[in-house]
Amino acid sequence: MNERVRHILGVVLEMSDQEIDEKLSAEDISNWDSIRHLNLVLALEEAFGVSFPSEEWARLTSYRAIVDALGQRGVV
Amino acid sequence: MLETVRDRERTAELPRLRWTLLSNTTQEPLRPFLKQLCYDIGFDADIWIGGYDTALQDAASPERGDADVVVLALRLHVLAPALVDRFVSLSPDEIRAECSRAIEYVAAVAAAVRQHSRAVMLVHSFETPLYPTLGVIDYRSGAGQANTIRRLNLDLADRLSRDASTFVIDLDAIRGRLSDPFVDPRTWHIGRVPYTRQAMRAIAGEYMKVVRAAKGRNRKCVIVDADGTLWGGIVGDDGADGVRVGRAFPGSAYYEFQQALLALRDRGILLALSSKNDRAAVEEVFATRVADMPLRLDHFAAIRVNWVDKAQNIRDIAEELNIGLDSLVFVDDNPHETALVKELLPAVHCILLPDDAVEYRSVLESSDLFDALTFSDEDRRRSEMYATEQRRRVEESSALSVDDYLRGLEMEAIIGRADDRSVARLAQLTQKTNQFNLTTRRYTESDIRGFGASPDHDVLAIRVRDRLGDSGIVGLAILRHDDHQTAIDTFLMSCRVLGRGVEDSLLVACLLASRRRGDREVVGEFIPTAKNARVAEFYPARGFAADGSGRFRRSIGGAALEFPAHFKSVVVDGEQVVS
Repeated sequence: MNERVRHILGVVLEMSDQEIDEKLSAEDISNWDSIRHLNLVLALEEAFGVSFPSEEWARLTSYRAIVDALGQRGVV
Repeated sequence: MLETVRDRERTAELPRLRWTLLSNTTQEPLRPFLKQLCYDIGFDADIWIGGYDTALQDAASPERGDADVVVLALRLHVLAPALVDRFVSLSPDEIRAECSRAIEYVAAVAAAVRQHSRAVMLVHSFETPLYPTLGVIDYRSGAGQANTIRRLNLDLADRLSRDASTFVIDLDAIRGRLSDPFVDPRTWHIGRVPYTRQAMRAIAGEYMKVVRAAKGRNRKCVIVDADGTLWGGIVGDDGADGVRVGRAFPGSAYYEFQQALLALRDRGILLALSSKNDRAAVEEVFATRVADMPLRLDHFAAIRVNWVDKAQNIRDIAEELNIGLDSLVFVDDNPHETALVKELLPAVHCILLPDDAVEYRSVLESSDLFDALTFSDEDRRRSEMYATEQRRRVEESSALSVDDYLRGLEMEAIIGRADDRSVARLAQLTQKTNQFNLTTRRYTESDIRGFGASPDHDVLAIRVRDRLGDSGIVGLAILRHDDHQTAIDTFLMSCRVLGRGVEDSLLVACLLASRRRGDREVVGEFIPTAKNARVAEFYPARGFAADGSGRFRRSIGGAALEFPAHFKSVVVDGEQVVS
């Protein structure tokens, strides 16, 4: 797992690192609401120095999707 | 910012600061920034955020009546979208109607909050358009979009400032200072979050300026170095005529920095000088470069030019001016000096000046350390009053005895109630006084007005003057009468008059007020803080008996209540009681 992504997910969603695995997805996590999602994307943007267009935000709702999107931008 | 969300537990022991955020946009993302900034000044922020666009309903609910700070963040895009999006389509009458509707709504929310809360209220101004709908010709007329919204902001400020505890948060000013984007259209469209993270950090920072001032965390004195700070070069090497200062570059950078220091002095911040130099050399610069320097030596309330280390000099200055180390800011261009002071005196706020002197001024001005919630004539005159105090001290050293000296001062005390003219000063005394303050309760102007109007309270203000000058209002007591008992809620004194019996005079006035009410007992309270140890024995030394729970009791009885004998005149509530 990417430890930086895991750390940001843990802080924003208020979960411990152990609770976060590669299968983590918004569908399974009640904490992953719209406000936290917003904070999550902004935190990822700040941490990795990237910018996601608005239409992509709604797709960044799992660990896998986040890592893929960051991977496309060559930052993970 | 990320860390704060998780580290809840570390704030558990700090005093709480309760926030209520009312808005017509999404405020949630502001929470971590606010939490962090509160933590930085020693508070655990408890933040409650109202519903989306339910500000008026939320404001009317008394649930959050005990909030310390209420924020009204109402964005014009939601409140009056036509003014923002379709301005050119509106007739002058429609524009007027939209503006007045917007102002009335904000005023109604503010009034609803005031119904059940004395909180400090922070109200966002409306953002003016970066790109007005009519383009360049918009600015030609006062009726254009930009000027209409500016006028709306002015009207709003006038309307709100009738309440002494309400402060406008000027979003345009914050936007102007920010080098990053202010709004994020993505978060606005996705979640009705208008501002970027950088903007939210800056907005929260602006809130904190008011909060710090309300909580007495602001600074009162700036100690500056001379060489490399007030002027370029080293007077010992370059000579008084060789140091760089004046109207023309490169001296102009130092000239402007001196202007900025003088502007701080105008608002009541004390200036002090600490320089490693021979005194004669520094004096020569001030004497011979008058035309090149706004500052004069007598602008400084305390001066230490010697070869002693600066930490020691700063301690001496604090003692001479009778203010705490945590009220001091130290400015130097030498990293060794600021590092030493940081190490030895961590309470002092140190500013290390940047390499380029043209930046000095903005570093000082953007430091946000000196905000006060009120500005009174006392502030305007404070520096003069300290100068008087220096003269007084010189006389003190030559007088025969302390008693003779005090008698020779021909002191006069005037003790009266809070009124419109004094209420700003009294609120400020509660916010700023740390050392001679028995309970350190901070009050706003409207709190003081509330006590003044209450039948169960007495608010006593003491003003003193003597042969050497008028010190203005220097002390305050707030009494609460209940069941034949007088509780002294607040008793405080400006440190610049201590040792002259002013505190005894105010206490006698309290006892007289209690007797006049027919109360049997006066109860004083001492709440220890990091700074008020000097008054721990105040009540016991004056006939009060400790009851073991931090309270001190004294019965009124029939004992004579005498003002200190050296006062030439004492007036209480307009009546001459000593003459």
